[in-house]
Amino acid sequence: MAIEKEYTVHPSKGMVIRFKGVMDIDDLYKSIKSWYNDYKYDYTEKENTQKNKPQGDSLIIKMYGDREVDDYVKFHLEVDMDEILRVKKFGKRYSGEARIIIRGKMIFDYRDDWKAVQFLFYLYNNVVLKNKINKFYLVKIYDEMMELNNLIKSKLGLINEN
Amino acid sequence: MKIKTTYVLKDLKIKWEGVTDFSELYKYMKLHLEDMGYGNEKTLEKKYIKRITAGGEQLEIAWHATKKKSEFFVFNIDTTILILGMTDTEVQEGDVKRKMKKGVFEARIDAYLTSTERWDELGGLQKLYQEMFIRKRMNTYLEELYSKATSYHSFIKTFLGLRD
Repeated sequence: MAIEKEYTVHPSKGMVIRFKGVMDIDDLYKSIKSWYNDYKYDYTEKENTQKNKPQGDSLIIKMYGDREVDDYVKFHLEVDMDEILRVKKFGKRYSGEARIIIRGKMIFDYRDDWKAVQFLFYLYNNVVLKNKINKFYLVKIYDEMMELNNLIKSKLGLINEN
Repeated sequence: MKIKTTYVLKDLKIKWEGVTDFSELYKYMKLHLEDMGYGNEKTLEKKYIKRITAGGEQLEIAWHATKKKSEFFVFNIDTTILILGMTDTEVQEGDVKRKMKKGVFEARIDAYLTSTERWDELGGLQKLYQEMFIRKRMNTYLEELYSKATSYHSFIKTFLGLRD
């Protein structure tokens, strides 16, 4: 498979985490933000929606981070809390149903220096840099995506932290 | 003239469905931009449309806030506000009944850096000379704009009681 401008790391529908029960949404939100900060990602909150409903609030929070690994490669990791339904507060925690999707991709030549010479860009990615992409960049972003995945799961009580 | 645009934040969305004081929010969002030095009340508002419908009031507001950063660069923060189905409601706060608005509030924010016409007027060698210094300064500018725009974004979220 040829390496194009963008290289997707996640499964086709993203890494999906579903949870129903009691959770600390505030802590989860803050932990994800801190994670991006700790790993030197430029953090952006794409969407923050809250609908107040009698059966419980409905939330949508979409965030992503970009990190320039070097002059050529940029990592992009997204967390979509795209469906937190029937959110009701119990003390400091909340009950509800959550669906969280994690997506990750690498972007090559993010400064578009090779835009005018597409053939050379193709050769560089698929011949010169191929080994480094597969053995270094891919491993690195995949590890980071899994760390983010583990963090979210641990905050939801789905796995043990140790 | 060819104006160069570099986006820092694009199409950030904040949406709130419920009860809030929309007129206060409108006022404080404006003041926040003005306090940061981004335009004044006379030039900020590009669009203000109010429609009365059967389901309540509908508002469409667009702001274009700018701040000249240097001879060559301008900071821009655009805000689009859409309010649907806004109706009056009363909320009991302690012993006091407060008049509030109920509806769907949506704000979208863009933040970007643009070059000025002065930049295009530079000659070849002058441009090259300036570019050597400006490239380094660009990152500082972008970081500053990012920080200002995210503080504005956080301000709106905090007002609405959203997580920040």
